Amino acid sequence: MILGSLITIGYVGLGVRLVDIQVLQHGKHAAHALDNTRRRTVHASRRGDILDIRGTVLATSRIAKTVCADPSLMGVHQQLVARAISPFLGGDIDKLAERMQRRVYVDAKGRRREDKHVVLKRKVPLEEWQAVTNAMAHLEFGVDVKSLSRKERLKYYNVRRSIFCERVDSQLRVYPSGNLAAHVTGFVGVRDPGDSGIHMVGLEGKHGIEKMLDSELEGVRGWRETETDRSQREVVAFREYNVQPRDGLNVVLTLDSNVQYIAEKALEALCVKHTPASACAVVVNPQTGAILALSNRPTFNPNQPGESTAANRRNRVITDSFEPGSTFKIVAVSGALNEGAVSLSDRFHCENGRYYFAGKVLRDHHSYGSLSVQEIITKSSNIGTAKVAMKLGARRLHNYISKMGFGHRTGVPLPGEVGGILHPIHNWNKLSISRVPMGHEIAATPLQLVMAMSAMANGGSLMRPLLIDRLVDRDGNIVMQYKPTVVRKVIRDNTAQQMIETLRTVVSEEGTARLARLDNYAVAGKTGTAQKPSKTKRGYEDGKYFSSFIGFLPADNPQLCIGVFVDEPKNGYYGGTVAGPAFRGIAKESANYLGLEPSESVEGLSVRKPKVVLR
Amino acid sequence: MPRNRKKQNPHIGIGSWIGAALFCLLLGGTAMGYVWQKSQIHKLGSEVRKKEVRLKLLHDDNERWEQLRAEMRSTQKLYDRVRRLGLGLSMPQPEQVLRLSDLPLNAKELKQSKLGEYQTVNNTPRSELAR
Repeated sequence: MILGSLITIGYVGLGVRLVDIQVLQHGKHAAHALDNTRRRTVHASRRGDILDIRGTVLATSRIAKTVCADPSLMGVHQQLVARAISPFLGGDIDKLAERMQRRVYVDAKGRRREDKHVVLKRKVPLEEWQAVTNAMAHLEFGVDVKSLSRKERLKYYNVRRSIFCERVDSQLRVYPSGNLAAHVTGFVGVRDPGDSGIHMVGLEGKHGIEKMLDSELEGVRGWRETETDRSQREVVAFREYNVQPRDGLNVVLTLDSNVQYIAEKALEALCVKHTPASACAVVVNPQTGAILALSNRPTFNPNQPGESTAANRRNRVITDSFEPGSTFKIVAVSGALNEGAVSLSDRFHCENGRYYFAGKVLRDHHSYGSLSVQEIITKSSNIGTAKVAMKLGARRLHNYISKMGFGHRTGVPLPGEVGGILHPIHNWNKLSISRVPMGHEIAATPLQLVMAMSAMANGGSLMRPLLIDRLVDRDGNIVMQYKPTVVRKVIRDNTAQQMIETLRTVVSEEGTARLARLDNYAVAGKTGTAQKPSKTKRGYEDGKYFSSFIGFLPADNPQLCIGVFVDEPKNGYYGGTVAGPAFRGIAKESANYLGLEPSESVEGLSVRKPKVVLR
Repeated sequence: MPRNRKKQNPHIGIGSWIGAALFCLLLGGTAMGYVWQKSQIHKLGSEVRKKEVRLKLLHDDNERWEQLRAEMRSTQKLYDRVRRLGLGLSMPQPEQVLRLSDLPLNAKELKQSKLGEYQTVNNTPRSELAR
């Protein structure tokens, strides 16, 4: 009877407890059970590659691991573990061991918790992670683990498990060509979650194309909601959602890494010879506006962007504007020719090198008497150009400057572009009409100048710089193709032809850029040597120049437009002598590499063009 | 006792045995089927998991090879290698390049060829050569 009562009471108690657990506390325990088994994992999408026009990889991604430690499993073996893994993770053994010491912290609810997730190193390549796991698997404790009791064995087993990697893979961005086109590709950093509170794992473009096309390169991450068993293995049958990640698109640039390399080497040689504060070079196809090379010095290695300064990372081709100097003369002269205000044979007296205008003296580097418009460009006469501009008139000159893209951003898809400085016409003073045509009182970026020169080369159309050729998916399907865009027609075809004829004389014996001449290709171009404005006083800085040469070739069928810009060169400062040889180096090698057909005739040289005719 | 009970056969018919057996078989079969199905789901799940792991490894391998290829094709490294090996490789000069023009048969350019143009191939049409 008593036994029966006890059994009954026992059953009633069990029933009550069952109801308590299953009904009254259902929510709490259900949530706990779900928490134990339900797993939601995020699958990072693979960031797209950046390629040059020939498919050479400029930026790619590698899967990497975030290596972590759980000090609670380590016992007193921190030093042993640190010694085993430090060869692969790098760093000092003692410091690594110190980081793996057990630590207790108080959480938001005031509970004491042990830190079981210490990040040791991020972005560890797969090979290194495999080496770490291998080292941990073969960890020697100095005792025969197999002979120990089960409980003791478990301790050592836990030590081996104490180093793990995060579930979600991270990516390591690699730039196989190092600093080649670093200012174009840019670099990436860890994505900032901001105030959203969402845990984001991934890379974010911080500079260059990486930044401008971040969303296209990034792709869409996938996720999976599933359940795991006691050993944390996924039970596929209970997988509820499985959304695959969509990889980022590959960006194919118009750059040609060989031309880029040629430009980089030429700039390096220039920097060794003239030790300038900075230098840059741009190579453009004038017919399409496609940028084939864009190089800056100083430069940086995008694989280690943190080791460079902000000055090294600055893309001076688009972020820095200078008074361009004589290269700007093409604007005034082409405008005057286009308007019919002058013809190439019109002659202007260049006042023997000193011209008093609006109470100031305008000087030439040499004293010239009467010069034709063509000779004004050949010899780069400031006085002659000012007189041509006066014939054109200030309003029309301002209009041509604006139409050639000065004072506006070119729209190249790179961050930080500036539009330069073009003062409104109502802010011009009496001197402006004599100063602006020779590239003073105005500031332009190197890219603006190269695009303006390209307009001369291609028959008078200002092109939008084309840096991205297409976006493709991982299978090579074209998602978007970028086409050359004409911004506007600036000058007529015959005016452009006259300008080409005029600019060809600049590299002749009488011109200012004899060192830019090539043996097999007719070159047209313009030198620029501008004094730099002082930062501390009115006027210009003594001995500080901005030298440049912008030219194109072959002059009879322009395929390459190259600009070389040198800031504060030493051992010479004339554009023709500083930038001219660098132009020549880039032009010669690029033309050879691209297989451009040599010109029929080059000034002062007879070119025999070997040709095999098949019949 | 009702009268009709006397007429009832005291033995259970073979049909009932068969029915009961079939019912038991059905019940057992269903249970077995359920277990087998669950086992298959688990087995297939494990296989899916294994294949996914294998696929990931292959993807990783693929990435590694692509990475290696990218590094081997790196312009800078190729130029450095050429310099290091000292093979004397350089770009051809324009004088060294022969340009081939495939002209139509009636092209006037052949008759008006300038100095420096070479006709290296007999301009007899192939159809005449065949005769």
